Amino acid sequence: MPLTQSMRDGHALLQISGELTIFQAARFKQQMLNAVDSAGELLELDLSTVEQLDTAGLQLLLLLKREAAAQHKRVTVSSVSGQVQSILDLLHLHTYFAEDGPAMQEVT
Amino acid sequence: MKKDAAREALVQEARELLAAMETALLQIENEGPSRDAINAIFRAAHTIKGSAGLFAFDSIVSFTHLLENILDKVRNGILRLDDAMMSLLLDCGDHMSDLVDAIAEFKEGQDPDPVRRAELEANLNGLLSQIEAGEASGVAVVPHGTVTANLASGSANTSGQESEIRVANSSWHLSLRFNPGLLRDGLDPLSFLNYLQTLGSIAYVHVLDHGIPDSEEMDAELCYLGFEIGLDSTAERARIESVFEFVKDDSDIRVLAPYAPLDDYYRWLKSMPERSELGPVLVRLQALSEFEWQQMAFDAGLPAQVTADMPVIVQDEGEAATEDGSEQLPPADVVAAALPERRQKNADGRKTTEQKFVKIDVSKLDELIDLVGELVIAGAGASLVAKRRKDQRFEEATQLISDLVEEIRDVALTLRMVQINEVFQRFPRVVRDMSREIGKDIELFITGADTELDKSMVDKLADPLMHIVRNAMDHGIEEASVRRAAGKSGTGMVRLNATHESGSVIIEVLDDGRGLDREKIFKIAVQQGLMAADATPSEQDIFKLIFEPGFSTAEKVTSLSGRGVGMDVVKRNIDALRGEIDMFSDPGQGTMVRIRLPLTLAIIAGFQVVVGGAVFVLPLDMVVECINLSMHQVHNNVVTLRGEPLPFIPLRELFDLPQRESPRKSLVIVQYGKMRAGLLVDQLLGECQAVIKPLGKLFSKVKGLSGSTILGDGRVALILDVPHLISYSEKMEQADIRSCRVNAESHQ
Repeated sequence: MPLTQSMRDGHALLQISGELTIFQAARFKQQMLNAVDSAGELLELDLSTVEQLDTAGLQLLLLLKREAAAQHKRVTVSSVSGQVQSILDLLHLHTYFAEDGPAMQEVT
Repeated sequence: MKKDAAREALVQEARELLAAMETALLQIENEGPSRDAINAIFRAAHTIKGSAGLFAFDSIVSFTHLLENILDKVRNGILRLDDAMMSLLLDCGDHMSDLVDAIAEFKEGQDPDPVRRAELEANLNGLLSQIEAGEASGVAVVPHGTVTANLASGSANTSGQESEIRVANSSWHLSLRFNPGLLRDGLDPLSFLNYLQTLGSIAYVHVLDHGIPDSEEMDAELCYLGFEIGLDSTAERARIESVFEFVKDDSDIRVLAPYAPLDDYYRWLKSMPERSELGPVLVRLQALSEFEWQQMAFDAGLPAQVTADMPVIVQDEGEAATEDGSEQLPPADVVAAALPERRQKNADGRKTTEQKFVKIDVSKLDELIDLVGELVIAGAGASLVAKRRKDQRFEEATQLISDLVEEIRDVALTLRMVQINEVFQRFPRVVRDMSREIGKDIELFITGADTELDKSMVDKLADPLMHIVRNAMDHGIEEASVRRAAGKSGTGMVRLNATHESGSVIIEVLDDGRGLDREKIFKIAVQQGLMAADATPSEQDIFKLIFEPGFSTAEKVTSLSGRGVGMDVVKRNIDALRGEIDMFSDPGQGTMVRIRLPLTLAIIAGFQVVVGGAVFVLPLDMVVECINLSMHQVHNNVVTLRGEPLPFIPLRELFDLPQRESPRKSLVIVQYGKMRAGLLVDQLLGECQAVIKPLGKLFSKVKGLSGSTILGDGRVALILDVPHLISYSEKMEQADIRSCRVNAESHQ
């Protein structure tokens, strides 16, 4: 399963593996939002097995983060694959997805 | 695989665009420059560059870019389209076409003709530097109307002094707002960013996600993200802008130079509705200093008393900007020249044509036509059942269905039909170039270019036609002096014509040259042993010799009229299309080559007849009339019809079928071209739809049959090859005449 929801150390864990691109975006959107809804205070994202990420996928991650913030929940990215890392590098988004990173609007 | 398909699509598109570009250039040459034609050329170059850029075919991108610069000057009236310029542009088009061919052959890495390229580039660069020199000295620069207008509207804020203030930002600033549908088109903004890194290093990036709507409304396949990017690069503006070439028509891409005038930033921000959010971001990215940002707010001419409450005012300003935003697109430096508005329009125009045409794989069409063929057969079967049942309502229903099936068949077949203009359109260029090359003044006239025929034939017609036209120009049309001496105009004429005629397409190539020399052709034929010295062949028979393979040796024929060089190959090509080729000539007046091709190959309207218990099908459009033979005078397989003798073939004897009792013999009169003949049959069954199935290999040598078809009741019927039967009846008639003569002589 490309999207796996489980619990780890008492908080919700969402693992995404394989591709996270335009081809999955429509399908994944609801599942990812559900993961936020069902999570407690903290949702951990494991992106270590994401093989491909594109703008549509990134957009979903941003949406997830924003949705969590709206529900006063924290999102933390525990580990990322090399592919995800290189995109975060390219877009200077490390802080954004770092643990407890502030939501984008607050960066300023 | 996927990439190969994309490559193929790119090559095909580029070829079409190059053809369009050439057509436009020739149109300008003939009718003088027109805005539409110049725009068409620009658009073609622009689109090719854009698509090629997407695949990083750098060789064609850089060349086309240079060409585009020149075309832009032409479009803005800075460069004049004189003869030299036209030739240069045509040559550039040829070179691009070579580059496209290289891409098609997976050889894009190497330049097909580096010498030529260097030469053309030197020419283009020479023109550009001339213009720049002109601009520097203040001559020849005619600013475009839109530019001046925009400058005027912005001038309220551009009071001289302030326009000199420049920002401290040493990076290029790129602001990207993509068309939301971008992702669905298979494009990914991230790949543009990645590509930007090849031009320099990215100093700062900010991803704007405020465009993402509420989670319920958000469509995960649309692109809502915006990007603000700083790029440290030594590349020129054009190079950076070219990264976004393919998307800039419907996306908002702004490129601001390092140390750009603050005014540029001002005008850009003024056009951005989300300016209030953008400002602080830019300050944080150090694209703008705090001071510069505030400076701009003051610059906007806000009333002093409310400046304290900045966010609110910024909001107001933002709205004001969007209200008149359409009128106040930032000119000049913010986006290259005054192009965006017009490009937008061009893009719109292109979209409407895209909606008019859908590219379809030919194999899919063939599949459809095959299925329609099966439907025709199944439909015929159903109506047969209906007739046997003698159920009137059932019969009515099947009748309605078969009417519709017939319509579907016609529509399906027209899908494969294209205008012959696809072939004809390349000839203006051929004639232009060749007439210069051989030093003859020759004009080309094209008529009937909208005549439609099967796509597969159009493709295979190009080479034979090219050959015939070249022959006409090279050997048919005389030198100007010879022409004048013969009392003709110094300008030679070549005409291409296409028309439909009784189920076939006629294509004619005419010239007003010296014509064929019958005597000399005959002499050579005798020398080569192709004809007896005392034979008295008809004119047609003599001209037919030209298509003989052995006859086409150049040194023997060029001295008379040159026809025949490679004409055997032309004939073979036309034969392969089940067509016919004939020559007509008037000495001193000209020559005409006429090609006759069948309209289509898949389904025909047929006419069923019964001979000796077997059903045969004739193509309906070749059937002229049916008569009752017993009512007419018959002698030796020749019937006298309305006073005229008409040869006929008793099909039962020809195919050696068993004798069957039939109350009366019917004669079906068929016509092909100008020739007529009768076919004697036992019974007439009437019209039908026949799906042509090819005969097996075993029967490929059988004459008189062109295929088979399956009847409604499942039986197989053979389709008669009418042209062949007509020529057979001719031969029989001549043989009869000869044998009569022999008999008469022996009696003496």
